[in-house]
Amino acid sequence: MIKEVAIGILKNRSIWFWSVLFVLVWAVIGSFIASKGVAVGSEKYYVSAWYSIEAVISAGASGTSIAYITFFSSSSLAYLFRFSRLKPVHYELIFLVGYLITSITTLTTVTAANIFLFSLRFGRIILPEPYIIPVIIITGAFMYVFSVMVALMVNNHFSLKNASFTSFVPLFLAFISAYLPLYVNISRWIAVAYPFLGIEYLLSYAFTGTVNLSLATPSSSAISPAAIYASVIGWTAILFITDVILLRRIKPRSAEEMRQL
Amino acid sequence: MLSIRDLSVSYGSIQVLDRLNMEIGDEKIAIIGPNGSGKTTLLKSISGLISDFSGDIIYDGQSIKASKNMPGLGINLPDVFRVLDADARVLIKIYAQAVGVEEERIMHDMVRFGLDRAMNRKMREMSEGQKKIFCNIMALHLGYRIALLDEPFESLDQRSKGLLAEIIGDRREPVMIITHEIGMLRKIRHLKLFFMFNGKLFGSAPADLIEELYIDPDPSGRVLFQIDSGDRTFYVKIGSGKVKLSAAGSIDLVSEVLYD
Repeated sequence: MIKEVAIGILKNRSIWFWSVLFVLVWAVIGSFIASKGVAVGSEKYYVSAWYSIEAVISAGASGTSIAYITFFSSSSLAYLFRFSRLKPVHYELIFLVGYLITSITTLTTVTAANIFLFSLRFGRIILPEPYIIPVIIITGAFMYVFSVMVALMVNNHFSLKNASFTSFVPLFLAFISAYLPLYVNISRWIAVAYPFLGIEYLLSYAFTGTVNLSLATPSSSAISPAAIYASVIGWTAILFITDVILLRRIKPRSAEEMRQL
Repeated sequence: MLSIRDLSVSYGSIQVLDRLNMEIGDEKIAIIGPNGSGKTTLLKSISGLISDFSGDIIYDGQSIKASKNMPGLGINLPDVFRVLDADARVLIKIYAQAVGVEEERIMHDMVRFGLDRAMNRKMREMSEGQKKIFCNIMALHLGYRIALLDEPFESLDQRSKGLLAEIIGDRREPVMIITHEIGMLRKIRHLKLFFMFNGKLFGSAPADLIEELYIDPDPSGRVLFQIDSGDRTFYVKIGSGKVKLSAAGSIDLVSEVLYD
């Protein structure tokens, strides 16, 4: 079923529009409009900051689509868990893997476009380290389990008048979090504990090889990427279990009820 | 197969189903009733889409409230087929695998109804008729033990209506049909006919005799059963009566004629 689910998510036009096309506009701005005055030798830090912000926003945009899809699926899932062989834990696993295939595709497209545009701008090829691949996978996995959790929490416990707004929570958080390391002094504790920042630091780390607390200042304090890896993976595991528990108690809600709001 | 015991459902202060009891074995059942009588709520309760009810629904020996992973019950409500907001072809593959039925057999019926051209469409991109056909076919195949069909003939063209009636008629497994279209029931053999008014179930009568069924406020004659619709009482009779059921077309018209 993973193949069918992956095809179903890959065909979602809104994921492609917001996670790739919308984000590529930022890549063009970053590479050709905002890049004047970048000091020689600091290009990779500049690229890493732009790329990590774009990638987090891209993942957040996908997360919003996943939350929306989850809201609309509540009755279908309630039916399937009762009258098919599908179990909540299998659903979560199958759809996570199916989503990861989409997420890897969209984030790889964004990464490739960034490499192309920034390399064109600076006249030399700027490549990330190979460990960007696991970072992209972790980013997708975290955003999926987080978005499903947000949607199920509202679906199961709150009025659906909050549904449309709630669907945008992954994107709002991604957007706000993405700019924090540029303008706010982030403590080590928050950098490790807050997963939205964690994935951004890891994405940046793939270009620079260090995790600096400020994306704008390459000389700022560095922290261990291992701690951030552990934190994001830990959050993903906790949210995965939370999703399964919420799926077991899923409340069927009418799509019409949500559409009217 | 299905046992409904003292089922009551309320939306706020409005009681929609009122201590309803019903046993469904290996038979085909049709329930007719006016708008708002509780028919769709009954189907939603059986399929677990409404869980806030009193009483119990037993499916294959297990309470619906506690049932998990019991394939074989299909329902044609569109809300049930919204996983991923995917197109029809992907939905068929996902549901066929999840329930454990052959995808090819579902596709075969989709082709019979001419729906193969709409397989790349999402449910929300389909016309009302296409959506209804898709949900009907899915319910009939996923419901290989029992299929629940809410207004299955609604929005269908004459050819599709006839074909659907033929498929339901040939089916051996139980079906529960909820409809306004009394005329279509004539085309399905061996159907037990129930009436629903104000959340209460009345019946049954064999739909094979639908040409001889009448509804009448007068109790004299060959009365099959009495219907207490709340403010009025009338009788389902054989042979003669005020309104011939098959000529009424819709149960709403029956109500109108009787109340006139």
